[in-house]
Amino acid sequence: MPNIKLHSSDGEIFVVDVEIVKQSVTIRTMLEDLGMDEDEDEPVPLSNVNSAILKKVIQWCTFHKDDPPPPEDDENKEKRTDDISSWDAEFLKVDQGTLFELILAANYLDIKGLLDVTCKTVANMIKGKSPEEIRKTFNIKNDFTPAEEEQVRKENEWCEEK
Amino acid sequence: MSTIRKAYMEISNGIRGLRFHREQSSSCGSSQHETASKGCPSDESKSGTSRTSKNITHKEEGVVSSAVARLFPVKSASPPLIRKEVGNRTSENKCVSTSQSLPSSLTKSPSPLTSSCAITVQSSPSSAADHNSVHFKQQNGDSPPGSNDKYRQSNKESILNQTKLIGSPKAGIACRIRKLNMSVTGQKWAGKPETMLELMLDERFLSRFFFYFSSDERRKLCQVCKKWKSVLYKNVYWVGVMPVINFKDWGSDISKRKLCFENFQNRGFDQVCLTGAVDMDIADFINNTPNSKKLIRAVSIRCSNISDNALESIIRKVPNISRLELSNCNEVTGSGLWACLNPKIVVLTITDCIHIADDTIGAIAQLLPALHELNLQAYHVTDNGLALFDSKLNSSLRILRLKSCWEITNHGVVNIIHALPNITVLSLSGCSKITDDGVEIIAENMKKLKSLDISWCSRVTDASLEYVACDLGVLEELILDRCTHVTDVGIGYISTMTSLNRLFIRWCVQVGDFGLHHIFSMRSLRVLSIA
Repeated sequence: MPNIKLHSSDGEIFVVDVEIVKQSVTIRTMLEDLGMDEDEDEPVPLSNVNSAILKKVIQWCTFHKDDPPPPEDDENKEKRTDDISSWDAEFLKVDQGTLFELILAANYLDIKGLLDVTCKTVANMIKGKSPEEIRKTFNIKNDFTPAEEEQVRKENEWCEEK
Repeated sequence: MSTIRKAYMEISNGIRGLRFHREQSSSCGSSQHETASKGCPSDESKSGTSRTSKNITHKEEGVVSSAVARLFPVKSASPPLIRKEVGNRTSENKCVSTSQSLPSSLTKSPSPLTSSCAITVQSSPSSAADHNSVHFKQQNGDSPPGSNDKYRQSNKESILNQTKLIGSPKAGIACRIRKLNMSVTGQKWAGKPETMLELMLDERFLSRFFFYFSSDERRKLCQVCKKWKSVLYKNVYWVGVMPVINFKDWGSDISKRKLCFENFQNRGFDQVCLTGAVDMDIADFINNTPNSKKLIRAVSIRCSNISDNALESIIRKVPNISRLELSNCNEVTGSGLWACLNPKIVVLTITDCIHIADDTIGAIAQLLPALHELNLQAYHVTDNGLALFDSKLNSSLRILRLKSCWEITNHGVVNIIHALPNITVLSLSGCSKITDDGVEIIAENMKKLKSLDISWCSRVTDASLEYVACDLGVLEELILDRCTHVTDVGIGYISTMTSLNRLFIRWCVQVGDFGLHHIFSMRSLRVLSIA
């Protein structure tokens, strides 16, 4: 089975089966772009992912390596957040910092399944929070003037869903 | 050994030739040349960095490559040996450059060796790292241009970058680097967020992330920050949401109103609910939302004292209305509706408007041939009104709900079944004059009925349920709330209905455990409401 070496941002090298990491569109593209053969041995550097997170990502990809490719997204459809599998839920029982790093890594490496499940988890974290609490969670600055804030609040005060 | 030494000489000559060529055309100036001659390894590497892909000529490259090819025949030389050689060479001035340049020129070498060579270069001083990494970063293109700082901090990063450059032996250096440069400028590797804050302000990510929320939740998300608001104020996120514009709330502050209408348009809603409006407000709304007039499909006007004229104007100017709701609009009259009802209307709901009476039904029946659903709550509608429906004109009506139309009697039911044979959902909730006979008529004649609501019809007894159970073979939903005369016997009848999957028997005080036993035997039941 052809292997590939992944080089995390803090210098650790991970040897993984190519088929497993091909779930990452970024890595797959790197391989194709560089015309790398699958059995070449130089590590692929992942400048945005440190070794702890990369380890977890590889763990996720290994478990999910036999998953069918995710269906083409209906771009404009609302997505559920209550259908996270139990393995994934266990996997994501981590502290908030790690969860955020994982979502960043999934976004950077473009691993659709992992991005999906981490987004669901983060979305569930935010649901039910007030705008101020959401800002605190992500350290987002409130750049509305008080008048603007009042305007937006009023516009969104009441909507009905049919 | 000697052949290797020879090969090294060739390489260094070739490199020197390259360097000379480069220094003539390089923009880095003479300072690097001087430092190079001093033989300081760190500066050597600096000079190495000034070389860009453009300056390497194919000829020099050819010399180097062939030497390298001889030096490193495919998969034969052992890594440790080479490492030692290179290590020895680092002490010599002339060949210092080779230690740096080797990795880049080793494009033709087999991979195991190149990585080891790259690793040895790690011994070169760290101060070179930043320039080195910048140089190689351009060639690698795997990291966004903006994140240089990260690399400057770490020496090991340079290894990373150098190893990246060593790729397939298939292509020549310049060619491969050109390819990589193209990828750098291509979108794939550019500017991906590196911190959570960046991610949460990244438009591309947010536009996908917001689909994990319901429309209700998105209302709160709009208020977090300007960026989120700008991403969310697009119509894809507001499908199926009916914003409520309460004119009383907005007062007469014109600028705020304008902003409200503008934002309404931006979000491209296809429905709207206007409450507390007077004629002027309606006109205001219509005039200030020119773009959404084509989009709006459903209008709901509540608690507003608008006149017939205003109603007419809104229906006329918003041409695509297919769903109309009027609730507590006490100045709208029957004649007003005669004037303005538009045949495009498919769903009509009129509740709590005191002027609505039989003639309105006439208007509805005549003017709305495509009507599919009618919800009426009008205290003045009588049996005669129901006679105004016509079986030919209103054959498309499927859903009829006459809530609390307490003037309606069994005669009215007769009128319904004659005129509207295709009804599948019927509600006579609160029509307290309906008796068992009425239900019998319904059961015998409306075979297609899927949902029957006779809640709050206090005169309905078990006999009705017997009729229902016998005749309504496809009934799926039965609502018997507050039918106080229904007992366990009636429930027994109901429990024989195989198609029933929703049953509501709240506040039926005479239904007890025995009746419930019957219900538990019903396999098809999905929803049961008991209180």
